[in-house]
Amino acid sequence: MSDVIVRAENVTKHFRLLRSQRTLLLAVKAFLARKSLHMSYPVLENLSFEIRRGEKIALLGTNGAGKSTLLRLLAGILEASGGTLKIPQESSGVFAGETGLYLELSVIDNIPVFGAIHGVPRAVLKRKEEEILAVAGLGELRYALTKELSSGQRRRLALSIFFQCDHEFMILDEALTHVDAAFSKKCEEQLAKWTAEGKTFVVVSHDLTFLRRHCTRALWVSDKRLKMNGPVDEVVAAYERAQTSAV
Amino acid sequence: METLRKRLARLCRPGQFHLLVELVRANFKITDQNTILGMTWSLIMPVFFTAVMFFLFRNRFSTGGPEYALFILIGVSTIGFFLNAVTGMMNIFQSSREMVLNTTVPRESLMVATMGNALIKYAIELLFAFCAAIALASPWWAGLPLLIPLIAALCALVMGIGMALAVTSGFTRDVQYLWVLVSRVLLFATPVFYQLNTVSPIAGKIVYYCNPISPFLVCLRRIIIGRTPEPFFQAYVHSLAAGFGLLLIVYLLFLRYEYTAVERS
Repeated sequence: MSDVIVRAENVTKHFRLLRSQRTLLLAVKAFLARKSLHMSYPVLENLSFEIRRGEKIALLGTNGAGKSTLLRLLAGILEASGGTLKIPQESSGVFAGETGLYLELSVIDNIPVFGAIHGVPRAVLKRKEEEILAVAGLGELRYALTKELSSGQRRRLALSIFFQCDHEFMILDEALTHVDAAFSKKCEEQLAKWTAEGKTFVVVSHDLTFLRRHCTRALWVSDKRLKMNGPVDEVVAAYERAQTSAV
Repeated sequence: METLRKRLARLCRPGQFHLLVELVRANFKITDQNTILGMTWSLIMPVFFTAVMFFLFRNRFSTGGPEYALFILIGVSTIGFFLNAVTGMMNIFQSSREMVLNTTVPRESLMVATMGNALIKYAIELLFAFCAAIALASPWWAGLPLLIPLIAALCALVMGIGMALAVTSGFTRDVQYLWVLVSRVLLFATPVFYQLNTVSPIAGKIVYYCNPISPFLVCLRRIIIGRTPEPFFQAYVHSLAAGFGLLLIVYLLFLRYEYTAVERS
């Protein structure tokens, strides 16, 4: 069973949220009554699943279903409130949009820092600087401040740098949002390359066709629980049916 | 909770130093962006404050001649570094919230990077003070190697207090207001422009033992200016113990509460 790189057993995640408006008066009242203004709000409950080395997992769910929280648990950014969660000991690559881009820095200055944040070795970044700019289509704008780029250009820059990652386990949260069809194709090529290299990744996307094409298995999170876990086509079809009936 | 050993192993992974360097570099570039004088501001601020304090207090507290200006400059630079770095670290869970919640960058690295930015400026100020000391005073050359552990202990102290405030301000933002209050008190409760023997004995003891910056200032002035009325080695041991001891204790608590603090920030 050594090829299991993620094992979740009854994983639960609770957040501490306010149950009422917080004012000084209410806080004092609650303190005197030995009550709390907060409640423990379950975001994920009793999730059990495994991810094996080399698997491509699609993570499905409506807004607020707990997908991002689950990704953060898988990346070790947050701790589970209950259950046991074994995650890869080696560093994992997490792509969460433009997080890690410094808007006040130029495009060229962002390459080393964004790369370092995502674990790309310095030597690779130096060697591939021109390639990154070419893939992002930002060669001419290399000295422009990142805040001056459009959101699509920023996303292209972030993804072009992230493509240099060589982690065994990668997490992609809404990676293709804001990118045009041409760049989307480049992303798909990169995913295919990672697939060929036997990397493991978990992808969150609302583009179901994309998920069908690149993932082998899907996890559907709904109402804080794991509603379905199985081959990507089956899970996506069930998810689509549920979405259509909800509309 | 991650154990200390596991966490240290994670921080020693290949690439972590590179990450730290890049974070410091990015912060540094942003700080002086769009300014005409750029890095020069690092010197203008403390020199200006030193000039004002020298003018105001030289008749009352002067240790004699231009040495007093150096005395103030070391005090102004040190307290400035301490306050800037601690304040930046205290707010890290709010100011870098996206990075904290969406990347695997260790939170310690974000904090060290924040401190690193302030440390570079502090190092420039100290270097300037040292160059001035060569011309105006008689630095303690033999004591110069002692400066490295001393600055390391000062950084440890800053890290310890910064981490403690970052975690506690995650639970309640009142900590940030309290820190504003404390930092204003510290400006006067630190021997920046006065010597400890010029205030009442009880006030001197309170300032020395209750303010963690005081023993550091005693040591820095002894090394850079060349003399100080307070015993050096006692202050030196005090500084190292306070800095490294506090960091160790706070770091263990940080590992225990950081996830909760991040979620609540």
